[in-house]
Formats: sequence, structure tokens, C-alpha cells
Amino acid sequence: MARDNNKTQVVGHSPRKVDGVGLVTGTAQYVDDIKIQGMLYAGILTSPHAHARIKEIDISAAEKLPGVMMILTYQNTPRVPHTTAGQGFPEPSPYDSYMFDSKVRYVGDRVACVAAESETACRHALKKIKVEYELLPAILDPRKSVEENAPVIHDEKDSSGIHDASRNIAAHYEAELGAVDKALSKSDIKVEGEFRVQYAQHCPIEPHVTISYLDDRNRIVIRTSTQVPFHCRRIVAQCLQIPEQKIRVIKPRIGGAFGAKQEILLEDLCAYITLKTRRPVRIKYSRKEEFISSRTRHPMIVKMKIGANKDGSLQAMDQDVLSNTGAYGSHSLTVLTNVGSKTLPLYWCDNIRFRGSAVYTNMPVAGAYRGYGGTQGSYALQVLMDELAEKLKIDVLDLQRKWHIRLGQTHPMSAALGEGKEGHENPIHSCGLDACMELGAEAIGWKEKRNQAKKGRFRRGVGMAALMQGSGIPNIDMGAARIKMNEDGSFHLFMGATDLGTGSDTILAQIAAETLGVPVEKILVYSSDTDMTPFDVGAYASSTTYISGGAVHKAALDCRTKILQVAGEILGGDPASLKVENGVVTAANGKKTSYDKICQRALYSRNQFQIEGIGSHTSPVSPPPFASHFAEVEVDMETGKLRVLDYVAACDCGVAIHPKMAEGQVEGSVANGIGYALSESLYFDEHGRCLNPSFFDYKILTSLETGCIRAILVPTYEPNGPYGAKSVAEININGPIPAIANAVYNACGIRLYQTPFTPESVWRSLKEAGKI
Amino acid sequence: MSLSSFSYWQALSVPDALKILHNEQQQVKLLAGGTDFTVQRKEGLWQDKHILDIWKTKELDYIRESGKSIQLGARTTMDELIDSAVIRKYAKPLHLAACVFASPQIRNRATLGGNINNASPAGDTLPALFVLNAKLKLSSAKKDRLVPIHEFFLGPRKTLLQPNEMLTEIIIDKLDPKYQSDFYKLGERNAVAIAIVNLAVCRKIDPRSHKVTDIRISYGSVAPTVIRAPQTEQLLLHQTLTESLINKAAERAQSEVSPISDVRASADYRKEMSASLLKFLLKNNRS
Ligand SMILES: Cc1cc2nc3c(=O)[nH]c(=O)nc-3n(C[C@H](O)[C@H](O)[C@H](O)COP(=O)(O)OP(=O)(O)OC[C@H]3O[C@@H](n4cnc5c(N)ncnc54)[C@H](O)[C@@H]3O)c2cc1C
Repeated sequence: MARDNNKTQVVGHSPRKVDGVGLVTGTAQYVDDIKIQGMLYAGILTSPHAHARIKEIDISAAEKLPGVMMILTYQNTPRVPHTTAGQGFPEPSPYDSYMFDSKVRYVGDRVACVAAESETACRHALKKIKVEYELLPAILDPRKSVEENAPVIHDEKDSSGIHDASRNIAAHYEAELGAVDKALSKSDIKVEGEFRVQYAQHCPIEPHVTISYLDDRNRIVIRTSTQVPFHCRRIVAQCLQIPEQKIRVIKPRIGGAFGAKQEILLEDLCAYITLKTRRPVRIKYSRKEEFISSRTRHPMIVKMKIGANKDGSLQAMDQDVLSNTGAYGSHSLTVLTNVGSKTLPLYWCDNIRFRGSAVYTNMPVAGAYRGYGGTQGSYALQVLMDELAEKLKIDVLDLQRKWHIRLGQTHPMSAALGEGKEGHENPIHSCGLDACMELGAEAIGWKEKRNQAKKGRFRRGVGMAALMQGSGIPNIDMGAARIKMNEDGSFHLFMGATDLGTGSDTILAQIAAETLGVPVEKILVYSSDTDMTPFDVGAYASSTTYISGGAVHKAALDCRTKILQVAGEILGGDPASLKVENGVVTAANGKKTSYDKICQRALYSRNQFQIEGIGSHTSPVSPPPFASHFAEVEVDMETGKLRVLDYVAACDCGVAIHPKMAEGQVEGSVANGIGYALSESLYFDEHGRCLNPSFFDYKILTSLETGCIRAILVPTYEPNGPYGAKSVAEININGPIPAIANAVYNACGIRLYQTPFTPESVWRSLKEAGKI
Repeated sequence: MSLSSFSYWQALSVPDALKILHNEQQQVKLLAGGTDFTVQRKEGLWQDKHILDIWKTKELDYIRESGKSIQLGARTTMDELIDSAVIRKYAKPLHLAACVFASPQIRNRATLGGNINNASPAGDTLPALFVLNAKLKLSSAKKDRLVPIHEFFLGPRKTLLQPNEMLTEIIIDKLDPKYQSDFYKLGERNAVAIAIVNLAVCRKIDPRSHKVTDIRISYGSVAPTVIRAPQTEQLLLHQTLTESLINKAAERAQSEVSPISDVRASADYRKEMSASLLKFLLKNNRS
């Protein structure tokens, strides 16, 4: 798509969200806002043990309770190896999950499911199920997973796609450019570190929830809180062993997801009970279950080394990753490889190596989480860049500026390492990183603050990080859209794309409106219904604006061509010479007609047909958005408590289709990232039981801690994206950990190698470094 | 919540409430703002109890000043404490504790009586009440009795309160303007966080001799109940607050606390913080 030199009318403006009024007035319906006559309430019995075999399961007492309709266990359900990861088919995640199994692999694993006439009856029945377990030794530390004689977590025969089940390795990947060891040994300067990040949960305000029912043709309708309606249909069909045509998945309004809902966690159970009982069924996670049984971020240990010469040139980068995927391998391979593929191509360097394993433990299951490996990788890389600049005695901004990738370049690592496999040539067609650094540095007051004297109890410092991510998975992610014209000049936009509260319904309506030459109010959006809308892989990999937006753009162009054909018939001109503005078509000779008249003619009078357009889109490249983050912190040298005083996130997301929402994405990711950096963490006891599965002790940030977050959008034009757009959803969660860690170093001279930076952990580091 | 049936009373006056307590004896659980009770009931506690709601017992909602003391009704909320000029002037640690308490929403509901009777070792108003020499008026249908706050707590969630009693009033000493007093809460985040350590201090220093004429130190979250630190106080009394004395006092304080490790912090860290926060408050000359 060529750059559109004309000023855009809708794109680049910030109209009201198409679903905004409904959301704030409470008329929009989430999954759990409907009640269906005769609905059953289902709940799950989960494992209290980290690793055990079910010796006996007695449901007789539970079954006899009034109101109990059905109890599912491994004994009465189909055993189909699958992955819960909602990814493109065939999925890059191992098939190591079952609706139920005779073995439980973590505290929170499924044991049984009860469906009853009421929630209370369901809860009582769950308590009456008696299970006898044979306890197995459990692995709680990923470093122990690969030890000789470690218990084998996936010893079942029928799983597949596991890298090495006997050694608990779910996934493994290696890629090398040049000769890293040799280059490292010859480098003048080496910096290295072992960086650890913890278990965290996405904490969507709406937990996972599903309602399913049979329609009048005995098809299962699944109304569910999902990021991936089409993958959901496919995976439920697989688990239930019925054809996709028997299933319809509808995604209503969603209360946040952040990756947690790129998983099929409840839909298989809900649909199966509906299929068996013919009754509507609702199932939802409590907050506690959301913390324990849903999905988390992959905790990791990232060992990284950078070698450089005295002139600052990067000689070698070596990244060695141990990822803890928990009890199942959902997203294990792809998150692992993205640690490298979303970070290493940021800098020019001839010798680069990535090695990594994702291992099973008897811990909660990790999955997709905003940032998707980039968060973990950026921590290591950006702290080491800070350290390298210090050793070189130069400003880290100068180091960054000198070696980062720029416009027109193609980084060989992008081809060597992709998402779960080899990557693709990814020439950079837009890069605003220099401007991000310049504007960000100015906004935070980099020069003055970086060099100010540090003394006293409260010490202040500033730190920065440079970031990249991608826009969709090249040659895999696909979106499609269809646009149908109505006789009043309005349009229906049908698309698979999935709005999770992200605003994509609005952004995609803007793209359609811009292309069709109408105000956004003329676009009626209907999205994410597998019966009604074309396919889309779903909302993940920062793909919606870029990939689904590309599909909408094509569909709108297709529709516009047909409109202009009819207009040409009316006005008697060559369609190519016609001009459109605000739903009015003007011919070269000044004659005009309007969209309503055009559609009325097509529907009712001459050469009758439905004016509509369709478009599908994939992309051979994944244009990286770039960002530069700056944090100012204050360290309390007595208690170790950190305060983030100021945070500037300058982000190049190409053209922001809806600048206000793009800023919202930046601010939201940063807040999410600061929470992960400072306080969000799941803690476990020595039996693998979670100690803090509630908002009381799992500390997401409140507005008092986020301090001041300032988003700066740095416009570039990405020629591969619709109207110049790239992604903005994930990249900005990757900045807070390294920017804050570097700011802490600037403030008081300690390097932080392990998140979260709680008062106690910072205090320990201060002590160990002899600073207090 | 649960299937079991229970009675619910709303008391509009203190005699009403005491009568119900008298008649029902063991079976009743008092409910004030409900910010502890509802959370705990959801977790399975108090399922077998009837509920006596005193939120609407307006006669328990007051802050009165008389002579050398202040009387507070048990139903006074954190928000009311923050807004009270009397508390700000004469009971600064209590004012500061209320300011860092939970979040604005909770502060509208959370009562002083509830914070005391929940008997958590981390309760934020408790160290403040300890240094203000609070006395608790425990009332039953038959009689009232006054209990000094340091005798009231027996352990986490255990107090001297009898089943037929309720707390009606809290009486605290006014701190005259010659006192310097302070409260500090160390938490993992600024809002809605249970304290890792909290600490209240008040002291009076003779302007001529610069000697300490009165000192009271109280800690929360570092022992099974909130505690005073009597040995540390002894060490400082009648002395001049030099740097080396303050360091000694901080060391002594560490031996007076007996914290545990939990998800919020380790015992170690709490111990160290008991010392360093005390140093900080003693060196701090804020009045
Ligand atoms: C989100 C959240 C954040 C919180 N943050 C904090 C915090 O920062 N600091 C802190 O200290 N606490 C905090 N708490 C705990 C709680 O808010 C306080 O303990 C509060 O003061 C309790 O008061 P209440 O009126 O809500 O008590 P209720 O829940 O009504 O009662 C608490 C207990 O006291 C008893 N009780 C109440 N009134 C009387 C009375 N007059 N006589 C005898 N017994 C009585 C009840 O029977 C019950 O056992 C928090 C709670 C929540 C939910």
C-alpha cells in the first residue's frame, strides 16, 4: 500500500469508541450478563497436590445430592491429546493436555467437573467427591526438571510434540549466527548476567467464563470470553470429536484478556456438558481459580552475555534461556523463541546465539502473556546495554543510537530465529527509534538527572530501555473481513477480529470508514462470531490492527470499487475518475450522487446485486514497532522501597489509527509492566501451593503507585500496514523492568537481577553490595 | 454465600445492641463496617453466627474532647478520623495511620472498633492507639469495664472481649503540643496493602536539658499482637537523643520484636526494618 498523501478524514482522529456508550451505560453484554432458562452451573474440582496419580475417585455421594446433573472425570470423558493454546493450526505447542487425566500435574489441575441446577448445589457436590491420590515426587524448580532421575511429568504414551518428555523438556531451540564463543573470547569488554523473572497472572477484571447451549438445530453455541473464537471452535471440536460445523462460537464484550484468554480452558467442559445433557451450562473461574488454574507468564532464567570492543562495536550476543512452562507446554516453544526473536534483532552484531529450553515443572501452567517472551528478553538485554555503556564510559543513549537497526536494513537474526522456528527476512520499512530516544530523553530530563549527585536516604536516578516487538506472525496470521452495503448508505462490517476491550472494533471501523469515504458512524461492526463473520486467527501477537486491519482495508477497497461501478452507471463516468467524500460521489463533470442512492439502485432497480466487499490478509513481514522508555525512580536506602516518580514511554507504532486509544495501550502496558517489575508475583509453598491467590496479596498497581506515566507517540509511516499502522499492544510492557532496574543503578549503584523489585529484595541487594 | 440460615439484627441504639448480645450470648457476631467480616465470612468463617449490625448505631459515632483525653465512639470510621481537627491536633499518629489505611473506599466503611476487634497484629490504628495509651470501654447489658489496650490482645484474632460484650468507646490521651509524634507504615504498595511493619512513636523532650521526659514506641506486624517496646523506651528515657543512643535503641528494639515470615516479607527483613524505621522516626524532627 502506498503512502496516502491526502489528509485522512477518520484515521488518525480519535472518534468515540463504537461500543463505548454501551459499555459505560451498562447495556453492552458480557458473557455472564445473560441467564438462560434451565441453565446449569458447572464448577471444577482441582488437585490439592502438585504431582499425583488418581488411585480412586468416588462420585457416588456427590451424584446423589439434589440438583446434581452430571459429574465428569477422566473415567467418563473422551481422552484426546491436544493443546489448550489457541494458536494457528497445526499448533506449535505440544499435545500434552487432556480434558481429564488420571494424573494431576500441579496444584489446581483438573480432577472433576460438576454441573448442577444451582451454584450452591454444585459447590456442595464438589466437596462430596472423594479422591484418593498416590503422591508422586514433584518438581518445583525448573533447574531440577532436567536432572538425572527427576520424575517424569509427562510419562503418558499418547502425548505428542514434546521435545524430550523423558527429560521434562517441552521445547528447545537453538540458532547461531557467526561464531559466538570465539567472538566473545576476543572481545575487549564483556558484560554478563543471569536475570530471573517470576510467576505473574494477567488479572483480567473479567475472569474466564463460558456459557454454552444448543440451538434449534442441535448445534452447540458457545458464548465465551476468548481472544480466539475460531481456534476455540477448532479445539473444542477436536476435544469433543465432533465436526466444526456442529459448533458456533460467539465472543460478546470482553473484560480484558492480555493473553490469558488465548487458551481453551473452560469451553471444552462447558460444551461437553451441553452436548450430553442438552442443557445450557455456565462455567466460570473464581478469582482464586483465575490465579491458580488459568494461565501465567512463563517465569524464566535468562543468562546473557555481550562482548564489545573498545570502540563500542558489539562483537557478540549470547542468550541462554531456561523457561518454566509449568505442568503443560502451552505456548512453551513460541514464547521461548520470542525471548530472542523480539530482542536480538535490535542491534547490529555479526555473532549472535540463542539457546533455550522450556521445561515442565509441577507448577501452574504458563501461557501467552502480553510481551510474550519479549518482556523477559528485554530485561537481560537492556540491563546489559546499560552496563556496557558504563564500561565504555559513554552515555547509553549514544551506544543505543550507534548500533540499533535502522530503516532499510534487514537483520539476519530475524531470518534465523522466528516464532517457534526459523524466521523470515524482515526488512525495516519504518523506524522511529532515534526520535523516540530524543523525545523521551528530553521529556524525562535525562542529561541533568542522569548525572546529578546521589546522597542521603532517598536517592533518585533515571534509566532507559530501547525496545522492539512485531506486528503479527509473518505468513501465519490471517484475518478476513466482509463489508455489506445498506440502502441508507451505511455498511455492515463483519470480521473475525476480536475486540477484548482493546478497541479493535473501533479501529477497524475507522479503517473501513476511511477507505469507503464515510464517517465512522456509518459503519456497523459485527465481529467474532464463527457462524457470521469470516475467519481471523484472533487477538494476539499484536496482529489485529496490522493484519485484520489489512483485511478490512482490502474488503473496503473491494466494496468501494463496486460502489464506484454503480456510481459510474448513474453519473456516466469512468469509475476511476470519480471522487468520494463523505458518502457523496462526484464525477469529473461535477455531477453528484450519494451512497444511499447508489445502493438503492443496486438493490431495487437496475443491474441488481448486493454491493459488498471481501478481503483476506496475511503478511510476509512483521514490522516492528519501536519504543524507548525512561524511568525516574527514588530508592529509600533504609527500607529498599522504590517509587517510580516519572515514566516516559515514547513509541513508534507507525500511524496511530486512533491516537487516544494508542496512548491508552501504551499507558496500560506500562502500568502492567511496572506492576510486574515492582510487586506482582505469585508465591508458593514447598508443596507447590499458591500462597496469595487473591488481590489482597497479589499486588497489582493502584493509581497511587503508577506515578506519572507519559505516552509520546512518535509517528512514522509503515508502508506494509493499513494507513501506515504498526502494532502498539505489547511492546510497551517490555520497558518497565529494565528501565527501572537501570534507574535504580543510576540512583544507588546496585544492579537488580531478579524481579519483582520488592522493598525487601532491593534492600537485600543494597546490603549485599555493601551500600547500607 | 452459604446455605445455613441466620438471623440479622440491625441495632439502632446501644441498649438495643447490648440486649441482643445478652439474649443471644455465643451466637452473635458483631458487624460494623464489614470490611473484615465480609471478607472472612466469604472465606468460610463465622458461618454459624447470627449477625448484629451496628453500622446504623449512630450514637457510637463521635469524637469528643474533654480535658486531657479524647473519647471516640467505636463506630467512628477512618475517614472521620482523617477529617477530625481534634485528632490531627492531639493524636497525630492516629491521624497518620488513618491516612495510609487501605483505600478511600475502605476508609469510608472501616471503623476504629472493627480494626481493634479484628485483632490483627498488622492493624494500622493499633500502634497509634498503643502510644496514645488507649483505654477500651467494653460494655455489656450489666456493666461497663475499662481495659487498657495493651492488655486487650491475647494473640492474633484473640482478645479479652466476652461474648456478651461490645466495644463502645475508645479513650485516648491527648498529646500536648510539646510532644513530637509520628507513624510510619512500610507496605509493598501505597494503597490497599497490609503493613510489613508499622510503627508509632511519641516523645517529649525537655527544652532546656534536651532530655527525653516521656517516650512511647509501638510496633505492628512484628509479633503475635501489636506491642510496645518497653526496654527500648527505658533505654531512651531521661537521656539525650544522640546518634549513638538512637543506634543503641534501634538495636534494642530488634530484640523486642519476634516477627514471622510470610508472603509479604521475611522475619529477617521485618527485624531489620523495626530497627531502621525507629532510627528514622527518632532522628526525624517532625513534630
Ligand atoms: C481491601 C481492604 C483493605 C484493608 N486495608 C487495611 C489497612 O490498610 N490497614 C488495616 O489496619 N486494615 C485494613 N483492612 C482491614 C479492615 O478494613 C479493618 O480492620 C477495619 O478497621 C475493620 O473495621 P470494620 O468496621 O469494617 O469491621 P468489621 O468487619 O465490621 O468487623 C471486624 C471485627 O470486629 C468486630 N467488631 C466490630 N465492631 C465491634 C465492636 N464495636 N465491638 C466489638 N467487636 C466489634 C467484628 O465482630 C469483627 O470480628 C482492609 C480490609 C480490606 C477489605
